[in-house]
Amino acid sequence: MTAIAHTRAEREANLRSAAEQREHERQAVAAHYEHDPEIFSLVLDSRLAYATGVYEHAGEDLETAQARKYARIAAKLDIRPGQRVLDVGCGWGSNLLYLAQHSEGVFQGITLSPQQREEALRRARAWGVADRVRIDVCHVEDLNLRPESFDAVLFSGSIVHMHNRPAVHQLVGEVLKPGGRVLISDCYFPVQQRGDRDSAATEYIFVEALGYCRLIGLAEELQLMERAGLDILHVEDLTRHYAQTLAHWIDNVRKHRRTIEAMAPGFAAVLQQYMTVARMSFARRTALEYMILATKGAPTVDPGAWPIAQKGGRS
Amino acid sequence: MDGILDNDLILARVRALIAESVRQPAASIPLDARVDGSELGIDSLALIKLMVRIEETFDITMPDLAATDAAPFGSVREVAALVAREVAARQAGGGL
Repeated sequence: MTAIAHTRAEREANLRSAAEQREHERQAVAAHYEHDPEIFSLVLDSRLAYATGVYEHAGEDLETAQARKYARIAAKLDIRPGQRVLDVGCGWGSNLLYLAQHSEGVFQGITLSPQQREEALRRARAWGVADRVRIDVCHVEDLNLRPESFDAVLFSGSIVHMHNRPAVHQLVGEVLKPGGRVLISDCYFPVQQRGDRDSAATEYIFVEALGYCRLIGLAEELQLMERAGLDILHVEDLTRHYAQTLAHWIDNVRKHRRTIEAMAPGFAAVLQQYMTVARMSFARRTALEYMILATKGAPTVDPGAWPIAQKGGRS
Repeated sequence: MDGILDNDLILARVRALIAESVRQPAASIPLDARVDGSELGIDSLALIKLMVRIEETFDITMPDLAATDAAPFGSVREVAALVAREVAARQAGGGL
């Protein structure tokens, strides 16, 4: 499949060899996440999820919304004792460590940032799950894994940084055992052209602030997953929730602007600026946020049995 | 930023920040030019950056650009008046 390039950064990526692009992602993507974790701890929830929460109502706080998201991912992946989980782009370990604490699974995370690895391992030790958690600094395409060796693979806010999506989905299709699940929570462009994808604002968020991002259409992602032998089980829109999450992050940047500036001059402005671009994009639905669940072979979870909140029956 | 900020000083500072954003001398920025229109050549990213600069400079919170009912920002003079109201509110609130 010849992918359509939506942005200048993507067109440039298409001119690189696969190896050159991997090297580019290693350098460019890691830079943002190499900032002191202390800065992110002032902006994000206590587990440092750098991804959307799930809100039940407008007045809810960030911590509650992220807790609901962790529980939702845990329910969707349904990790049984001894099952093996791969978290691709595990960040500071938000989901990986939550899952380790709430299951008896065995966990392997990868990140491009040594700072993130160190912080995640520090937390794993503090929370008593280090014996079931391994984290490596590694690009996903450099992973050398046995076929059918994992029960679940997670990408939370990470696949957007990966240019070579067919290779990534092929890898997932190969390493999952029959009955294995893959969950992706990330950002997509609507198929209908809305907004200017070559604007200074898009370039700012995708390149200057975050190194390298490639937004594709949801259907393109789903098709690549299906071609890798995965069956789509469930897709939900979290666009509104991301706009709300970003509002909390922006307020936290404002609240701690001076502390952040003292630790990394200029970074508070970068955070507030890119987060405002992102918030406006989600609010206007020029970018969309989806959580996708797929399975290899017969599913072990049944989305048809999941509750849908009753009208007026908010708990 | 501390001390007494009168409205003329705020207008001058806001105008200087806008001038910096479009890389023009402050004197060439008409006070009645719309900040969020094409008149000054401030695109959506430049507008976001300008709002962040204003928040940093005056230690205030500017209106949410993503709000569905967001009002347009208006002229240089109107933005300065908005900043002056926010600064006054902060000072009355016993803030910094």
